[in-house]
Amino acid sequence: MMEVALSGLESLGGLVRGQIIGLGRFTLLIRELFFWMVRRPFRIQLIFKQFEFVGNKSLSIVTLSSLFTGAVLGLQIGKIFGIFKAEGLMGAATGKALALELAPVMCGFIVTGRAGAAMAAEIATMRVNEQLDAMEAMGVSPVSYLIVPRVIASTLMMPLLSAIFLSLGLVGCYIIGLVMFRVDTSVFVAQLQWLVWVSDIQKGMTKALVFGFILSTIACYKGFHARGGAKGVGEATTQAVVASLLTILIVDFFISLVQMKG
Amino acid sequence: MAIPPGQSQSKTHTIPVVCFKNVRKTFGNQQVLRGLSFELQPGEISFIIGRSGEGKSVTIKHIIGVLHPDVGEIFINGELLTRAPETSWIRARKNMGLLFQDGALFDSMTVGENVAFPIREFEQLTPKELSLRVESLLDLVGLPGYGLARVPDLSIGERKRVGLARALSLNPSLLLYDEPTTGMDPLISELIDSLILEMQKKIPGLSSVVISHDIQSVLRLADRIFFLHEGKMYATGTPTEFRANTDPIIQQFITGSLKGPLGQPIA
Ligand SMILES: Nc1ncnc2c1ncn2[C@@H]1O[C@H](COP(=O)(O)OP(=O)(O)OP(=O)(O)O)[C@@H](O)[C@H]1O
Ligand SMILES: [Mg+2]
Repeated sequence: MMEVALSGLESLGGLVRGQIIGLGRFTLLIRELFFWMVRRPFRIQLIFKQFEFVGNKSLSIVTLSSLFTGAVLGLQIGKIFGIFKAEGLMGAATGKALALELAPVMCGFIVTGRAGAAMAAEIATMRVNEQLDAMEAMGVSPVSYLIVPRVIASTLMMPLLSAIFLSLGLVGCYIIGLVMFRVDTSVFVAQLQWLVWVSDIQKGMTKALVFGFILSTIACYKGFHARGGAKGVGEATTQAVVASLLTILIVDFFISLVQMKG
Repeated sequence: MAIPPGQSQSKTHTIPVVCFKNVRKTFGNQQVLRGLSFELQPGEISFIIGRSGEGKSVTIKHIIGVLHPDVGEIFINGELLTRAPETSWIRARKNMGLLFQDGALFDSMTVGENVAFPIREFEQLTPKELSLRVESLLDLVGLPGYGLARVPDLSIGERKRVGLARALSLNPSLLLYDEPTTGMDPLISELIDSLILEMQKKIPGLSSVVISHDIQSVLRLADRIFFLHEGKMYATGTPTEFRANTDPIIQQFITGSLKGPLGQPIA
């Protein structure tokens, strides 16, 4: 009995120690990331390549999922508001939810699943095949060459994708409003303008920016410290996705808290 | 009697290209380097030999600074680089070229882009100059016209030769080869061996460090041999000194006999 408890404590201790070491390594990587962000060489070409990569990977899914997310929100909200004969408000309510929460969070999830996972797998493969060592041995920092462009591109791309998500989500909602609830277009637009403020959109964009930074640094970090052949690559990829999703949700809560006070 | 390190080295006081002082390295609970000390002289071809898993690749990675010692000091061209900032290492590495044991090519790039990678980073060349330079490097390693080939399609021997072309691309003054001929047919091995000699003749002051299991080419090419055993430099000396050495461990290693103090391979 005692032994079980002890070994349980031991493994808990190991887990905590592992987390602390991980946190230390993550901090070091972030420090190096900022070091190289403001230093030559600025790899503009690589940043654009990553823009294309993140955009290409995510755009079709963002398009499809935003239309359906907007539509399903419109459906549910329209139904409830219909009880009070206030279907005209459905666009406004959907818009508020999309702008503040759903657009940045859903985009964060989509980009994590598509681009983040691919980044983690790619860098992990380079780690286990000694390609990162080779790069370093040639006097080129892998952080500068691989991680900085990915983080910059993801961070800047996320607000853009989030804006697309918001716009197309509203289109999805509008179509439902038109077809199912016969909402008048001018009412839909007027209510939307009345309830969704520019500051809401700004708040959502800020979240998207932060999520972009989080998901790309976590993906690169997990790839960078991968170990142990093909299995290690798989593990790094899974861990990157899980850690990114959780962190996005947790950070989302705290940003919302701060934004409400501000 | 093993020759203690340092004893048979030249009396002239040149600064060694590489100097390890009591270097220790542990992975988890596996001690790989256990107080490793040695000096490599400039202008020489030094061979590092030793059994599989003794830490030869680990040693070469310490020279180029992608691994760092737990304890001990490493000097490159007389400069203490242990615990030096990364920028000092980056400067030192520009004069080094390393051929990794498995080539370590970037598999998202073509062969030509791999060879061009260090040149692009450190020199401003026109596209024409760059492609000429890449072609001549690929010619040198016996892979003419491979510029557009994809890395995943190459054989291991071809990968290593591309890795060698890449290591040579910035005209390094210290060339490190990790098992350049392992896994190659006799003709290509011969080509690589003569390439090592040729580079040495062509580039004045070039120092080469070669890890090899091919004892015949070691005895033929080496200016000095370093025998790594149990995490330390067990013996150093010229090929003649090694042949004459009566230490049973060294004799067993040179003759490749299964009987002796090294015991039988586990596999
Ligand atoms: N990054 C690392 N992390 C953990 N262990 C490592 C690492 N690099 C090397 N090792 C271990 O250190 C030991 C020495 O490895 P090394 O690659 O230097 O051997 P070697 O002498 O080059 O052998 P071979 O002749 O087979 O190439 C091995 O047991 C290896 O598993
Ligand atoms: Mg090795």
